This record gives sequence, C-alpha cells and structure tokens, in this order.
Amino acid sequence: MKILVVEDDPTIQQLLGIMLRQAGHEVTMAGDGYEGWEAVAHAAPPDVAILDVMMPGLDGMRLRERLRRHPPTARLPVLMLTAASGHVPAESPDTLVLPKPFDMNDLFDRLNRLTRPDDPA
Amino acid sequence: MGAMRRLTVSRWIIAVLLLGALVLLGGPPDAAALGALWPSAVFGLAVVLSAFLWVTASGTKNQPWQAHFDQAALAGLMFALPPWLVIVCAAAGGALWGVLARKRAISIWFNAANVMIAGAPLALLAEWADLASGPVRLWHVGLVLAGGVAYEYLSWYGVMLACRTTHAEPPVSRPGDCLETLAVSTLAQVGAACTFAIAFRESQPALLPIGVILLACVWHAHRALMSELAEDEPAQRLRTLPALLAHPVRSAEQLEALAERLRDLLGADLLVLKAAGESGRYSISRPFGEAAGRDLAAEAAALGVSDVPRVLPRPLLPAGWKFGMTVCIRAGDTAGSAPPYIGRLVVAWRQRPPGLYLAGKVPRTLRNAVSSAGHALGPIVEQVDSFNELVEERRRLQAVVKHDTIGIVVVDEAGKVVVWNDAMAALTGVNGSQALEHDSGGVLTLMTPDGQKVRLGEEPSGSLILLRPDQERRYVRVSSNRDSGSLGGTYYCAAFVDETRERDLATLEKLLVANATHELLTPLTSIRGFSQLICAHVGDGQDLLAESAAAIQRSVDEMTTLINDLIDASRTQAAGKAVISTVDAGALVRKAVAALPGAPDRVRVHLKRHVRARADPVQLERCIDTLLRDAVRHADPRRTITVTSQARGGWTHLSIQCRIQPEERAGEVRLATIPGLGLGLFKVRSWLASMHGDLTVEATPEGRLLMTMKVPR
Repeated sequence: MKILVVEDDPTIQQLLGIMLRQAGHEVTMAGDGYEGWEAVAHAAPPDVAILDVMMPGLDGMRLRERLRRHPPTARLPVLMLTAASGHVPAESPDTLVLPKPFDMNDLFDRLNRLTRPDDPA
Repeated sequence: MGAMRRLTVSRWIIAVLLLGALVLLGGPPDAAALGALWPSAVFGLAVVLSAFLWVTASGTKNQPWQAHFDQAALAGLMFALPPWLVIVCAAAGGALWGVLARKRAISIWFNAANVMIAGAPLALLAEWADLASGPVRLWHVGLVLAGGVAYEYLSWYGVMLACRTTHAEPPVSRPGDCLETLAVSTLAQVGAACTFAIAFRESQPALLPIGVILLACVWHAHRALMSELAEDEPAQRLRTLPALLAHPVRSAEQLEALAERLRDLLGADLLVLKAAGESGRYSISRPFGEAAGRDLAAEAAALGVSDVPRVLPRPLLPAGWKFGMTVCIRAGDTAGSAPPYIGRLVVAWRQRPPGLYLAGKVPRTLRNAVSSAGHALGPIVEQVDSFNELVEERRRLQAVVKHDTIGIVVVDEAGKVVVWNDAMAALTGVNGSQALEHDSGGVLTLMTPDGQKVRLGEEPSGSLILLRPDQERRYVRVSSNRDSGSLGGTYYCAAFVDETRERDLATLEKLLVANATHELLTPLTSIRGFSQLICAHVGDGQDLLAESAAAIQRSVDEMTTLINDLIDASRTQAAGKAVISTVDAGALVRKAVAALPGAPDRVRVHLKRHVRARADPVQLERCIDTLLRDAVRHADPRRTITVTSQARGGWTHLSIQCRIQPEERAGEVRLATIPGLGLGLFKVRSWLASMHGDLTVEATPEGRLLMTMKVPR
C-alpha cells in the first residue's frame, strides 16, 4: 500500500517510516503541507495519507481541505495525527484521527479501517 | 375675651345667688330636730348619695363634676355630726391620708380624707358658734363662708403636700393661682352644704330643693369654666393636631420637622422622640437645652409600656422643670395581636402649661393630644422606615446600575429600554440618551456564536456575541432574568460582562497551550513509538531489553496523562470570571439530570421548594453536570444517585451522594485512585471558587461518596 506521510518532526517521520516499511508499505515522506501537496499533485495519488495536524506553513487541516477539493484525491483516506490540543477534525469514513503519542497497534488498526472499511476486524 | 366675660358674669351670678339663698335661710333653728332627724330617711339618702358619688368618681384623676357633689355632700354630713364624731372623722381622715400618701395613691379617697380633715375645724367652728341651736345670723353666714374658703385652701394644700410626697402630678401650682375659681366653687359647695345641714338639723325638707339648686349652680359653674377653657389658645392649637398628624411623613427629615411642629403645638419646651424601625433608629430631641445629656426616653421607659400617657415624676425631669408626660409608641395595627412597642414620646414643660392650673378639661385635652400623637407616630415611623428602605433599595440599585464594568440593561414588556448604564454605553458605543425609551432591538443586537439572533425577552445567558451599531463584535457573558411584579409590570433585566479582551487572551493562551502540548507530546510520541519497536523486535534472551522498553512505555503513558490533566486544568482556569446573579439552582439540577445520557432513571432529586443561589448560572450548571457525570460514571449501577439541597445560613448546599462501584473501592476508597474523578473535582473546585463557593468530598470505607457544593444564597 502506498502511504504518504506528511510530518514536520524528523524523528516522528523516521518512526513512522520504520513502522510502515516494516509492515510492507511503500512510504513517501513530506516535511510540511506544501511538500505533501506537491507529492500528490504531480504524481499518482497514494492509497492513504497520514497528516500531522499542526505543521508550519500549510498545516494538516488545510492540506486535507485542499486534497478534498482535488478530484483525484477527493476521497483519499486520511489519518490525522494530533497532539490532542487545538482543533481536532471530526472523524468520517474517509478521515480518522489518531492522538499523539500513539500506540503502534492503534496506527495499524486505523489504517486498516480506512483502507478496508468493510472488514470487521 | 367674650368667653372670659361670660365666665366672670356667670361666677358673680352664682355668687349673688348663693349669698341671697344664705340670707333667706335666717330664722330660729330647732335644735331638737337633730335628734328627730337621726337616723331619718333623708339623712340616709344623703349618705347613699355621697357613697354613689364617690364610687362614680373613683378611678378618675382630675376631679370630675361628681367630686364637687361628693365634697358638698360629705361636708354637709360633717356639719350634721356631733363634735365627738367630727373629731373621730378628722382622725380617721388623717390616718387615711397617711396611708394613701405612703402608697402614693392619689385618688378620690384621698380627696375624702382631705375633706374629713379640713371639714372638721369648720364643723367644730359651727358648733362653737351654736349654729345648730341659735338663729342663723348674717355673721354666721360670713363665718361659714370664711371657714369654707379655709376648708378649700386646707384641702388643696393637703393635695399639694401629697403630690410633693408622691411625685405625682399636682392639679395646681399654687392655690392662689385659682383663687377666684376656688372662691366661686367654695361658695357654691359650702352654700349647698349649709343648706343641707340646716335642712337636716331643723327638719326643713323645703330647703332641700334650694340645696339642689345650689349644686346645680356648682355644676353650671364647672361647665361654664370648662367651656371657657376649651376656647383658650392651647385648646385651639390642639384642635389642629389631627391635621398635623395626617400630613404625610416619608423621610427622617420630615419626621424631625413633624417633631418640631408637634412641640410648638403642645406648647412644650422639650420633645423627645425615640423609636426603632426595621431600617433604622430615630432619636429626635427638640431642643436639647437643659435636657442635653439626659436620655429621658430611656429613663421614662422605667414607667413601663402603656398605651395611656403617663406623667413623668419630677426626678425624671430636668432640674427645675415643672411637668412632663410620656407615651409609648407602637407599630401600626396588627390584626389579631397588639402592635409591638417600638419607642417612646416624651414631652416636657419648664413652666406649667397654660390653662393646666384647673384640674379638669385642659390636662385631659393635653393628655389626649399626647396620646393621639403617640398612637399616630407608630404608623409614621413605619412610613419613614418604608421610605428609607426604598431609598436604600434605590441606592443599591444605583450602585449596581452605575457599576463600572458590568453593563446593565432593563427592558420593559414592549421592548423599550428603561435602564442603560454607563458600562453598557461603553460596551455598545450607544449612550443613555440614545438608548433609553428606544426599542432594544435597535440599540442592542445579540447573537449566539453560530450567528442566531437572540432577544432579551428570551432571557439569554452564557457567552454571546454583541454586535455594535458600528458592526464591531464584542464577546460578552450575559446573565438575565425576568421580573414580573416587584417593579409593577414585566421587565427583562440583563447584565453584560465584556469578555472580548479575556477572549483574546484566552485565544492566545489556547495557542500557547496547543504549542506547548505539541512540543511536549511530539518527543513522547517518538519515545513511545521506538520503545514499541524495540519490544516488537527483541529476540529470545533479551528479557531485560523488553522489560526496559515496557517500562519506558508505562512512563510515557503516565507522563501523557499528566500533561493532558495539566492542559485541561489550565483551560478550566482560563474559562473566565463568573457573572454572579440569583439563580434557581433547583432548575439547573433538573436540567443537568435530564441531560444525562440514559441516567435520569438512576438519579433521584430531592430538593427544597426554592433552591436559590448567588452564582454564575453557566458555571454552576457546569459544576452540577461534571459532578453528576462523575457520579454516574463511577457509581454502582445498581444503586441510585441522590441529589439533595439544604439552605444553611447564607449558603445553599447541593449534595450528590452515591455508592462507588465495588471494583473501585477494594478495601478503601481513595479519590485519587478513581480515574478522572480527581481532575473533575479540581475543575469543579476552580469554578466554585470563582463564585465564592467551595466543594467538599467525603468518602467512606463502605464506598459512600458524598460531594457537596456550597454556594452563597
């Protein structure tokens, strides 16, 4: 599964990269919202995007809105990472929220729910 | 002047009639008739008449007309008695006088004692002049008249002496003050007495009508005098008393003016009014003069609470003052019970009041005037009290309305602004003259955060947006209520606190908290994630590494909980200051219970009828809601949660009682070990503290948890 990770903190980037790659996923990293947008606007869209809510420049919330307005990514499943403070987006079938610090199992559980919503597991 | 002339003419006519009657009585008396008379039916009738007059006159203090008759009849009896019996009577009168004087009881019996003492020399003189056996001569008449005047003087001096002994009100200052009156009265009385005596002794029943005519003359003189005195200046002044007392008195200053006019009207040199109403004490002394430094009202209180005016004993009066009266003041009429005693009125004179020298009508009129004033002053003090309360209420309202930081608006039922204070003008940019009497909708636009307009008539409360006429938005906290009745009509009152600045600060604070949270939680995310990776990839025989990674994860969890609690607490404290108003805490409890998801059946509410509290309705509702949710979350689902209220002193207590679930109270309930409860209590304590309230929590080893909120009433 192709996953786009948009996270400004290099350590979290590294952590997510290790976790996701070890699980067999193809990971694309972006350091802020603009990099993330460039990654989807000029290439084939990923299967899932993991967006940090609070980032300098284009933050995760606005990047998500931009993705929704872009037809190829209008229904892209998005997992929002949040530090539990500030504005937390409402969850929907194509958007889930994972508060920091997260548990690895919760991460994969939510990715699973996003990509396979009909799977009861 | 005309009245005085009538009085003088009337006196002289009586005097001439008396002299003529006595001259006509000349002729040889029949000494033997006395023996025949005693005890005759006529004599018995005289005795009965005397007794009747004594009885009807007893209890009255100022010698009504009966007293003249009884003195005449008694004097007549003295003339009719043999000398030894006269001496016995004099001795008995002296003894009676002594007993009554010691008891300080000035009554009609005291008068009788005086007559018996003073009449004895006269009777003995008549015996010495052989009035009983010889013919009545003109010098006899002069002797009788002289003796009569002496008798009257002696009688009056006896009364004066008794009054000085007993500190009672003397009927005259000096006997000489009423010489003319005494002379006329004495002539009539002695003439009647002589007539009766001769009629009895000489068995001449034909003289009895003459005696009756003379008594009628006494009565006529008395009435003429009283009628004359009723026309004098003090009496005329006293007639205006009802009008003075009916004049509306609404303030302490007007009460002082009333006291001044009352003093003038009574012709008094001093008037002291001391009363205590619900809203204050009134102590008026006009003028202070020689009474300064003396609390006459307090001293007079020793006379007891009586609705009848009491004469002040001399020792209570300032030195050298002649006369004083006091009457207690009672509150207005109370149905079914005596109105309470609330004060005292004291009036005093340096000199004897004009016209008071005559024992009779004027003192009674003056007494009635003082009595009327005392009775009227109770409702007047109550009126002043009500007015004071109104003034105080207005002052309080003014203080509230003039509040610097809280905007206050009152709107009538039609939507017109009737109160608009300076703070409101500053908040909206609309001054009072532009707002008052205008439609509230034109000067005040309120909106909910989601943009819905709100009218004051909807009794809004909580955080709202105020849109100024210049389209600037202000964030306000609103507390409002409807008043139906106390102001006469329906009014909507609202208090506004400008929270724009606080809100800006809160926004900054939120941003700061969000950044701090982000900065703190981001490294924790890495620590947790990498430790999980280590746990997931440790091989066999690397137990120490696995345990270490697990310990790191537990520490991260604890630190995460700690950070979240701190963030939550900082948000609670930044919630803003409370807008205090009187709220129906019972309604807030019922509202919170109804809003509990699936829990109303578990909660039993036992509240008093009116659970009033001085609190911020929004924050108090938050407190109740938080505690109820905590109780529902942690309580044993098989047991009910009880909400009760109690009013104690100036506080309202709202208690929530429940049983903690068994698994959460193994051994002993420790509040800190109940997840989330500690933070909830912390938040509620913070909210209550901002409303000057408090929260107490009691937990028993049996699992009973009692959370009590205390807020001012």
